[in-house]
Amino acid sequence: MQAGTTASKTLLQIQDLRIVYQQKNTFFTADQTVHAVNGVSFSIRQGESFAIVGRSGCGKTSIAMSALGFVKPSAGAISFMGENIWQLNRKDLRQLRPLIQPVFQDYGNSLNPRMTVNKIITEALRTQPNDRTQSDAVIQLLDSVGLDSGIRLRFPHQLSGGQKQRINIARALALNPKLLILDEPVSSQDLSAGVKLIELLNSLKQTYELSYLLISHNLSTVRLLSDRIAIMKDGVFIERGPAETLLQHPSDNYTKELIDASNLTNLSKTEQA
Amino acid sequence: MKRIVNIICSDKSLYAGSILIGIIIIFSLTGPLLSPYNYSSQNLSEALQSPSISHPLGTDYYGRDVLARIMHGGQITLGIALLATTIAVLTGIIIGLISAFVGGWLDRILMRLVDIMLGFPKLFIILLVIGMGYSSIGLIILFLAIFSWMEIARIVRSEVLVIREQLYIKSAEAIGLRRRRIIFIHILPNVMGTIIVSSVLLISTLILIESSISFLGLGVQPPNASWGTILTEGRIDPIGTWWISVFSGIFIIAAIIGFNLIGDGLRNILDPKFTENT
Repeated sequence: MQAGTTASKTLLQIQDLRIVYQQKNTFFTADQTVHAVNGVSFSIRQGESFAIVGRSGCGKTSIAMSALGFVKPSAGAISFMGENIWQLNRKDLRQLRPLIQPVFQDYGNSLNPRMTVNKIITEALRTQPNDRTQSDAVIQLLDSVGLDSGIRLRFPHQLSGGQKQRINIARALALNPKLLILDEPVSSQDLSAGVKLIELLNSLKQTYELSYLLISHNLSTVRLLSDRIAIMKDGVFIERGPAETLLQHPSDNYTKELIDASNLTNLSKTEQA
Repeated sequence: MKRIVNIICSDKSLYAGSILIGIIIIFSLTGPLLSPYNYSSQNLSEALQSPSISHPLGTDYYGRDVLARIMHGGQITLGIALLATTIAVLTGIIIGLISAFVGGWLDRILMRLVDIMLGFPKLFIILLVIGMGYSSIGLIILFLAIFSWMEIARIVRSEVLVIREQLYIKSAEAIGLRRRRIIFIHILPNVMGTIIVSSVLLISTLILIESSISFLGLGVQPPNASWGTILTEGRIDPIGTWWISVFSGIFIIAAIIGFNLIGDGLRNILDPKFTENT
């Protein structure tokens, strides 16, 4: 059981979210409408971890991108700390954004290839009032994600996958966020690196009093990180509940399939390790 | 400075191109100061002398020293090409950025303008206007720039449209950076490699166009000299007075090869994966 579930303040509230992508016709094809999200509602309280689990293409990343202000919802409301983020003007949205930080699935592409680690983290720090020197702050942030300060002068292509992921987390932490949106945080890691990263995320959650919105297709990952889980299929939640309850007593066949698939993935990763 | 020298030395194309262009620039800038001859001083008693110790590249029909004229012509030709490229590149960057970021109807209008401008036969229009008697170096620079910004604008627009969808730009937006900072600190440096390479290649194209205009007698007017002007002075008797055209032609070719080599080299060194290894 994860700690922090007793906090009561609602951070993120999503009500009846609908996201529709319009694909304009070309000479050879007709207009296409893709209903990525069809009326999803949930909330995340301060200190809580909420996971959305489903197979690729079910709409979970669309929810994350919409909560980050990148994909406009077709209907519904997304409120963060009481503010509807899609009704804010550009300036107010910019001020709110540091509080919701993403850690993208493609962690390599999330780091500017022309910037050193130091510059990447400093870019985040410059938006924050800070009484430390930026150099000290960078070193401290690197330390908090388990990286040596010597890595500061490296470019992203000189880092391993795990190091890149941790730099992404360090950059997010530089902004003192309330909510981290973790999109498949360990999907590209081997088993031992994945376990270490999960331990780090659990530790950071306590230290920085973070909340997580976790996006994953792997239930074994979210089991270790989440308080509540929602199973998503074809743009809707088909089942949701406390993590342990849902994993031990799944009511939907689709959830059972995902649990079986996660067990197989773990077995495969263990054999590889 | 030492790092720049190291980077230049680590790429053969860049090294060769830099040496070649460096020599041409030093030759063009310092030569006229050291030469005993003025590029426009006529001495009919020494007309059409073949290369000798007193005139290493010979003399032309008016007895002017070809070496002095080529050195002065280098300043004019390179100056025109560099200034026109600078104007064209800045215009292209601004229009490309506006087109990519504003989008919508403005993007459509600007891109159709690019299509129209690319459809113009640029050499014909330049010749037409200059042939009407409006020839001046300033006008040549302006016309070359007006008909050269479109490729840069297209490159910038297409690169920016790709880069702005990259996750590191989404991350920059997510940390709350202003749009201006995202454009100039996060997007533009990632486009600069392509822009610089295209610009260097544009310089060689413009050297060729300026030489063509001057060769046709519509560019830089005598007694002023550009490499194209000198080239055309030898066409009356290309065999008997070979030194007039051959040496100016060699400089045009050398400059174009030099800038192309620099362009190839820059394509490599502007990749951060390359610079890290040097």
